[in-house]
Amino acid sequence: MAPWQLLLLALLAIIVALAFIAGWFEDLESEIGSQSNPNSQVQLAPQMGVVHRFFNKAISGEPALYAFLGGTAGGLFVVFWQGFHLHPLIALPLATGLTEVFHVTCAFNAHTSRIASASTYGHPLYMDVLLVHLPLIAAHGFMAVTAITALSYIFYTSIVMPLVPEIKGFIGYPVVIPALSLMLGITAGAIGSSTGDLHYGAEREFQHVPFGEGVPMKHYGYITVYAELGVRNSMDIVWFCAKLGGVMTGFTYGLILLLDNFRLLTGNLFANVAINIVIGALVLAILFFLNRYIEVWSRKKFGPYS
Amino acid sequence: MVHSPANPPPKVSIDPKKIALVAVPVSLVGVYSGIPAIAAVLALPAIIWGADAVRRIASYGLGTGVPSIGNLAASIGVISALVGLKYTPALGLAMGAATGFIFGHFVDKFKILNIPHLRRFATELAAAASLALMGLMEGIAKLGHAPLVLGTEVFSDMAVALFAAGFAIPIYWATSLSMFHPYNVSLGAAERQGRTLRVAINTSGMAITLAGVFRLGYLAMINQWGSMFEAVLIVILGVIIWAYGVFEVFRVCKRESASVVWTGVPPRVGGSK
Amino acid sequence: MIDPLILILAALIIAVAGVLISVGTILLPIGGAPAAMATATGLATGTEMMLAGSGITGLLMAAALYNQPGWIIILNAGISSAIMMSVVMLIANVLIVLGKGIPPALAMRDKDPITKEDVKQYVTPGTVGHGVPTACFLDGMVGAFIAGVGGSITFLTVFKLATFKMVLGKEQINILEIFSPLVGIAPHQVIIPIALAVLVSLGLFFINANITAYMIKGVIEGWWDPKFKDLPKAAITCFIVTLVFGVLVSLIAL
Repeated sequence: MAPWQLLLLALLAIIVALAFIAGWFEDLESEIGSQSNPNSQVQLAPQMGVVHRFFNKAISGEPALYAFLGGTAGGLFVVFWQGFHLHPLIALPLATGLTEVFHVTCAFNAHTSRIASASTYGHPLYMDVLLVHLPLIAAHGFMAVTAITALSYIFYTSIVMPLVPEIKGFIGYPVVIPALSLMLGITAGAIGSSTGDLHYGAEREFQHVPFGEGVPMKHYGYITVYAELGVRNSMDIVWFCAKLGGVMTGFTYGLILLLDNFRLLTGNLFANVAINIVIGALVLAILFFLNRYIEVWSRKKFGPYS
Repeated sequence: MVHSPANPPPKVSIDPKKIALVAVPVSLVGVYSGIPAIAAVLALPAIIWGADAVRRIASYGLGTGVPSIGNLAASIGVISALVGLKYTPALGLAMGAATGFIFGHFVDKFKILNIPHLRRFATELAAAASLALMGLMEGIAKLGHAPLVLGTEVFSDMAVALFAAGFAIPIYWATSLSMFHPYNVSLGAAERQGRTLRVAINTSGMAITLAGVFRLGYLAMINQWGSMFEAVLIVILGVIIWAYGVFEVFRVCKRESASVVWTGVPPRVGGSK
Repeated sequence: MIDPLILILAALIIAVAGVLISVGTILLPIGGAPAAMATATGLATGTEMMLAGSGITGLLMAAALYNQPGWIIILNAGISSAIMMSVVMLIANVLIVLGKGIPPALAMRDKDPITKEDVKQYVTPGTVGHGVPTACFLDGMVGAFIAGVGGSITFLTVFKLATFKMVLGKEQINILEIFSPLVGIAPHQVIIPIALAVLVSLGLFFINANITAYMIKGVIEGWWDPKFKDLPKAAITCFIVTLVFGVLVSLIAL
C-alpha cells in the first residue's frame, strides 16, 4: 500500500480513539456535576426532605452545554491558531483551558442559585461541596473538550489543507472549526445523555432499590445519600459510573464515528457513492437484528416480573 | 431566614416594561453607531431583557423546556440579525419581532402551549435576541467606524469574519445560553427576579468577553494590528461585567440560602438510605 | 437584484424540509427524565436535543458529499442519522439490561406492535415501561431517517444558492439546479457557503423540533401513542414559521 493510504487508515484510527475519549469523559463530567436528567432527582430531593451532598449542576441539558463548550473552544482555537499563528499543539490546551473558565462560572451559578431557590425546604449550602467539586468539573470537562476540538481540527484540515496533498478529499468534513466542534459537542452530549445517564440515574442514584426492576415513581426524590464510606458525594458517583456507563458512552461515540467515516472513506476510495448506501443499509439491518437478539435474550434470561 | 410561601404569582422587583423601554433604544443606538466597542457592550440591556422574557414565559411551567425556548429565540434572532446587518438594523429588529409574533400566534391558536400573553412574550424574546446578536456580531466583525445605516456594502467583509473563520456560530450559541441560563439555574420554589437578573449580568459578561476575544483573533488574521486597542477594550469591559456579576450572585445567594455552612452530615430520613 | 420567484420557491422548499423535521421528531421514542430512572420507555434525553444530535450527524455527511447529485446527498444523510440513532438505542438497551437487569418493555399496548409478543408481563409495576423494545427501535430509525432527509434538504438549498451567488457569481438561477452536482470546486472555495448553510440548518432543527416538543410535552412512545394524533397541528405551525424563516434566509443568501 502506498504511504498515503496508510496515513488515511491512521487518521481513521486516531479519529475513533479521540471519539472514545470524548464520549467517556463527557459522561463522567455530567456525573461529577450531576447534570441533566438524573439531576431532576437531585433537585427533587430537598422537596422530599432529603438533605444531600451532591453538586447540583443544572446548567442546561448536556447537548446544550457541550455545544457551548465545543463552540467556544473551537472559536478560541481558531483565534490562537489562525490569528496569532501559534502551533496547534500549543493553541489547543490554551483554548480549552480558557473555555473551562466559562464552564466553571456556569457551574458555580447553577449550584448556588439552585440551593438558594430551594431555601423554602431548608437545604443548606455546603461550601466544601462547592469548592471541592469545581476543579474536578473543570478537569473532566477539559479532557472531553480537548478531544472534541482535536477531532474537529483533524476533520477540517484533512479536507481543506492537508499536510500530505495526496489525501485531500478522502476523509473529513469541510465545515469551519468552531461550527464543527459545536456540532460534535451536541452529538457527544446527546449520546452521553441517552446512554451513560441510564447507569447513573437508574442504578447509582437509587442504589437501595432492588436490582432487576425499574424505579417506580413512589421512590422519586429519595436518593441514596449514605454510601460505602460515610456520606456520598459526586466523586463516589464518578468512581462507580466510570466502569460501565462512561465506557459504553465512549464506545457508542467511537462506533458512530467509525461507521460513518468508514462509509465515507470506502465510498471515496472506490469513487462510487452507491457503496455508501449499500454499506449503510447493511449496517442498519445488522443493528436491528442485534437489538432484537438482546431483547429476546434478556426476556428469556430474566423472565417476567414477579 | 424566613421566606414567603411557595406559590405567589411571580413577583417582580423591576417592571418588565421599564426593561423593554431601556433595552430597545440603547441597544439599537449601539448597533447604528457603527463603533464595534459600543455595539458589543450595549448588547447588555438586550440580553437582560431576553432573560427576563424567558423568565416570564417559563414560569408558567415549561420545566425542562427552558433551554429550548432560548434556542428557539436565538435561532430566530441570528437570522434576523444577519438580515439586519445586510440591509438596515431596524429591519432586522422588525423581522425578528414579526417572526416571534407569528410563532406565538400559531402556538397559541393550536393550543400547543397554554401560556397567557404568549404572543407578547414571544415577540419580546425574539426582538431581544435579534438586538443582542446584531450588537455582538457587529462587535466581532465590523471594520472602520462609519455608522451602520445601510449595511450592504460592509456585509461581504463581515461575512469573512463571521463565516470563513466561523465566529458567528459560537456567538449564536453563547447568546442563547446567556438568555436561558439565568432562569434555568434559578428554577425552584424561592425563585426571585432580582437574583435571576444578576445571573443574567454575568452570562452577558461572558458573551461580551467572547465577542471581544473573537475580534482580537479576526484583526490578527487580517493583520490589522493598529485597531487592536478597541478589541482589548471590549475584552476588559466584558471581564469587568462578568466579575461583577459573579460576586453579586455569590453575595445574594449566600444571603438567600436557608443556611450557609462549611460542612455537615445530612440527617437520616425515611425512604432514602 | 433578487428575483422574487426564486425567493418564494426556495422558502417553500425550506418549509417542506421543516415539516419533514417535525414528522421525524414525533416518531422518535423519547422518555425524557423518567427514562433515565428506568420509569418510562425510550431514550433518556429531551426531544429536541436527541433530534439535533441525529440530524447533525446527517448534516455532517451532507457537508462531506457537497459536490454529489442531490438525491445521493439526501439519501446518505438520512442513512447517517438512522445509523447514529440505532447505535444509541442499541447501547441504551445494553446498559439497561446489564447495568440494571431489566428486559425492555413498553406499556401503552399489551402486545408489541411489530413482533406481536406479549409484553405486559415484563413491565415493572409503578412504571410505564423501560428500555427500547423492537417497535420503538424501528420507530426511532425511521424518525431519524426522515429528520436527516429534512435537514439535508435545507442544507442543500442554502448551500447551492449561496455558492451560485458568492463563488460562481451567477445572476440567473434555475431552481432545479439545486439538485444537480457541482463540478470542479475545491473544498477551500466553499467554506463560507457551507458555514452559512450549517448555521441555517441548525436554526431550523431547533425551531421545528421545539414546536413539536412543546406539543409532545416530554414523553412519547411511538406511533401508537395517543399524542401522535396531534401531528397535523404541529406540522402546520412548523410550515408557517419555517416559511417566514425561509424568506429571511433567502434574503441573506441571495
